[in-house]
Amino acid sequence: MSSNMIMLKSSDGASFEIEEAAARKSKIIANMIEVECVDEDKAIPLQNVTGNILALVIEYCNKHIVDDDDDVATEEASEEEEEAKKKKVDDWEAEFMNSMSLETMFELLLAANYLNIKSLIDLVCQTIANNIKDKTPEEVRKIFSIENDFTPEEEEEIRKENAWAFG
Amino acid sequence: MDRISELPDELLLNILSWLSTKHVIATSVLSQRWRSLWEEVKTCRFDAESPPKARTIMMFAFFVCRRPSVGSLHLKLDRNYEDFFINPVVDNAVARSLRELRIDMFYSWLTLSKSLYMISSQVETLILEKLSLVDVPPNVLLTSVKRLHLLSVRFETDESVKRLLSICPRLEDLVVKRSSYTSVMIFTIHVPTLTSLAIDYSFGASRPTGVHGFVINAPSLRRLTIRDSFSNYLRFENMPQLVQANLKLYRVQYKDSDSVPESFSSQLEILEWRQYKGTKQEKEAAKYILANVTSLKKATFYSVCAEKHVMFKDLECVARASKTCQLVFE
Repeated sequence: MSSNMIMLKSSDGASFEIEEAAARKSKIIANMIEVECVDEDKAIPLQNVTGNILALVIEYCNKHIVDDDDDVATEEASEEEEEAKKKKVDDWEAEFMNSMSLETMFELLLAANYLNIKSLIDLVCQTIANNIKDKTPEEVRKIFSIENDFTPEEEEEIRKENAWAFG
Repeated sequence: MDRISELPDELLLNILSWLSTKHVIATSVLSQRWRSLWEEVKTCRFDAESPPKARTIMMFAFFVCRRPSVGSLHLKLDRNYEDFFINPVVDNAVARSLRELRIDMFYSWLTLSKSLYMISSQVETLILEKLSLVDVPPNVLLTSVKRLHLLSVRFETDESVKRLLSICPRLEDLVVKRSSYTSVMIFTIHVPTLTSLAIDYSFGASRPTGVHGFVINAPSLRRLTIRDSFSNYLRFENMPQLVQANLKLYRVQYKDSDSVPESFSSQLEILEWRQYKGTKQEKEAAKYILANVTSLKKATFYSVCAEKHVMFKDLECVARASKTCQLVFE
């Protein structure tokens, strides 16, 4: 595995050094590396991602370098380590998502979307979905500060349409 | 607008895809932004409620009825949901060009809906999880099923497995996850059309006593993945097309959640390989087993190839992990 380091630069000017293998989790960065628009000593500018969010993205990518490459390593090599790693990654993901506010979560989601990191998009979406599950619409509106822009009549109408979903 | 409602549709749909249909529809009342998003979610999903409400599953069935088409149906149920609740939902979805059906019964019985056997059924992917499958009736076929996943599925007898697989004339992709719940001794996979087979028998701590394992007879098989910690018997027959074999035969145990796992040998004692042709993949798989499985007592290779003596010699040279393993060539 290559341990080439590359530099990423956030929209607010912070620079981060990251292993190429980790950065490749992002389809966008992987493409940039492919087409050689990455200079050895120049940082890749990411206009849509702030430093604090980029730090989280990098933390996530570093944690997940290994699991994608495991498909290639088909030999019997340390099955037990793999097993333990998987559990560790799951625990880590839960902890990672737990530690951030909803606000941060949305920024992270947009950054993951911009950088095209599918597994991170799914992780954040699933975590947000867990905040919607088993809640009444009123509770969901409150959690996410969604403004109800229906008139009471309109709302009544919608509820009637699929009454079973609100029972 | 608030942060969540500002997200592009694509991301909101991803969020909704993790929810049951009931919860998805309930988002329609949040605000104008959410008014019709739910209609774009392709999967109809029902999750068991506790306590179960007959009305909700009925209404879910009606809901499925009103959709012009249903791509994918996921039912996550339990023993409170009997066939007469499940069948109408499945029948309606099948009639609406259902392609993928996934049912999880939380370890209770399921009888496959008759609509799945209809010639008009378009169900290509059938995923059964944590359930006891009632034997399939005679003289039926699952004509359109190409992918079948049996994840912790219990069968009435060993024969039930053979029966189920024999009624899938187009089956290409089979995934079997055996757990201690799967009360089968010899799991026989005899599927002429099968090109991909993945077996996972590494979960759980207990295993049945007596001879238990797999018989694999899939002449079109190209990809074989086995992860097995418990079988003591394995028989391969006739797989000349094999291009990829990934075998992992050993056991991992944790003392407690934080400790480093310990690796033990698998339980494999008897390996029988019929119509061994010594292709690169077969050879690698055979050598892997001989070189790694310490519990092996007897490995028998049957071959009719002209070069069988060379092939056998080659296997004989492998340093066997099991000192007591008897190697037989026929």
